Amino acid sequence: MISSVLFMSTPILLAAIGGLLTELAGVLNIALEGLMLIGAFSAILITKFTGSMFLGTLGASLAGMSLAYIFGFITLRFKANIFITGLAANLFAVGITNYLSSIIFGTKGVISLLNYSQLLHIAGNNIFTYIGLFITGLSLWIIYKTVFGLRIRASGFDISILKIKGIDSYNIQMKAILISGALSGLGGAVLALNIGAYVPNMIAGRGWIALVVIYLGRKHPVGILIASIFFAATEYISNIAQGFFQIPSDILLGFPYLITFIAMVIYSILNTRLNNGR
Amino acid sequence: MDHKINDSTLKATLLAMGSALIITIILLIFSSNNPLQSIVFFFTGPFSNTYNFGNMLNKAGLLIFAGLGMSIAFRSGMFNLGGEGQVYAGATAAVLVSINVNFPNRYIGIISAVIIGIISGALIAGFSGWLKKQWNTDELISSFLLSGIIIHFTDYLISGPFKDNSSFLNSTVKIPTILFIKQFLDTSHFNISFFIAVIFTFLAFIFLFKTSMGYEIRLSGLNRKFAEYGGLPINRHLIIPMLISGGMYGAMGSFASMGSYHMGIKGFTQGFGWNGIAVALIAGNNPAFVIPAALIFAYLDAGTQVAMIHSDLSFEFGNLIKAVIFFLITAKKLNLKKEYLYD
Repeated sequence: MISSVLFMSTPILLAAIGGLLTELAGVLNIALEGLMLIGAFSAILITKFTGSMFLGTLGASLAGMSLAYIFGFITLRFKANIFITGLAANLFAVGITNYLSSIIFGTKGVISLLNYSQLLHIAGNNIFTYIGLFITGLSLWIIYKTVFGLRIRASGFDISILKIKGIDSYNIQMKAILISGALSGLGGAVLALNIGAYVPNMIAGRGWIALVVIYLGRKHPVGILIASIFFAATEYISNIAQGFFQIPSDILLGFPYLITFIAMVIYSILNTRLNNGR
Repeated sequence: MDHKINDSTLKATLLAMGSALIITIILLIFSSNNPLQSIVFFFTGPFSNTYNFGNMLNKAGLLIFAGLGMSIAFRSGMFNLGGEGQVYAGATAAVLVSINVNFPNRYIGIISAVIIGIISGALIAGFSGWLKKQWNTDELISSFLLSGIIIHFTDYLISGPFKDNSSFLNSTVKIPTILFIKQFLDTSHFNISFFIAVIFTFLAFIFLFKTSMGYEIRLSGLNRKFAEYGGLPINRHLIIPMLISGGMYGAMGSFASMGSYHMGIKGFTQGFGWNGIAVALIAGNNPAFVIPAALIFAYLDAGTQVAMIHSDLSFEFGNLIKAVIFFLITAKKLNLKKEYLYD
């Protein structure tokens, strides 16, 4: 049970760690959902044609980075509104996967891998669980122990600090956005490769959950890890409850949004109380 | 966190719309067996007969409602990202009222159903505004999440307790014929809602630019701190713009269901919410330009639909076109050269 909850938390964790870097750099990234979708689709597309899950995973990260680059370039260079460009990235991901799926596979539905092998497990845990935990640790080191991390935090704290120091803020924010693209793409790949198929809507709000997880985790990698596990646990419990109570599938699909919404409201209530107490 | 949306510049708007047009044409060329014919259908299709033309106008009318609501929200600095759920809820609430209540006559029936639809949308969006006022809950994320809940719950209502089991569609039963909003042009969906939308445009313009509340809303959108120091009740301006934009999405939904579809079909308002944001941005968040913006957007939409029907294309253009528009329309600087440090 613990290993499946840990594994279920991995896609959200990866996207949230990427989102944390952009958040710290002063860029609220609402494109996580779309970046994950592109990753999930690319992972299946590339694995199907090359037969290699490794290349599929790599390709998913690159695809996430490519969309993140378009998103970042237009937002930072053209000074476009980040929420509207984020929305654009999400819609673009839906549109382009739909389009490519239609012209390559002739379907807008499920694309499954024919000869699909289980993901690698080490000591009872999925390989991606380790990768997720490793990246969380790595992010801790990057954010708090490296010059790049310091600059990311400075950029979010007050971007004029970078300007005074003569550091290119575009460069710092762009790198953060590209990393978030790669990690979200990876998160999407984990989802798709685990079931050996791409299903439209398979991200099912996880990009938005990741966004809320960043706040719930108080913008710290360890907090984010805990919050991701919390959401994975509720997903796990609702899957079990489904077996007992025969909850209608539509209600079940809305459940992650409900939990995330409630968590977000509780967080903002506690936050207001804390701030008022000070 | 502030979600201020600057009014789009003319240059950016033209670039966004031009790029959307070019990308549509490129997609048509690459994915149609007869590209030239598809392009001709794309441009002339909406005007080819009264059915297509009427449907385009009807779509524009529905878009006007959503565009007006979003313009007022954007002007106030509030970001309602839950339009998808609000349209769907408004549409379905109007249908459920029409099916289950016996109205004394058709006018009372239609008006009540539409008002119920408007209230449903308004309350959903207003709730996000209230949360923002109460505990500073980010309304952009909360309205989106709330919309996700509402969409799936409405899906459940339509395909569960209110499903018409005699139909192949995943839909409710039809509303009583007497409650259909009369359609004007042949069999097209064009109906009186277009003219109501035009009247709403005047009202929205007067509200925003000629009333003190409109002035206060614009001022809090420009600079919330300044408005607060000026003694404006800014908390009220967190909820009212959300109520208005949600209500307009509700109007869009209920007119769509009462005037065009006459029943609740699972997912039938998909994309309507994003279109509302697109129209508001094309119009530069100014009600005066919402009508032309809605017409342009409806034309683009109708053109691709006609081109699709007449060709072998099976995918949706909608999301890609909107993505292109959204990517470019808020751009403030359109130079490709890197300028940094001191800007």
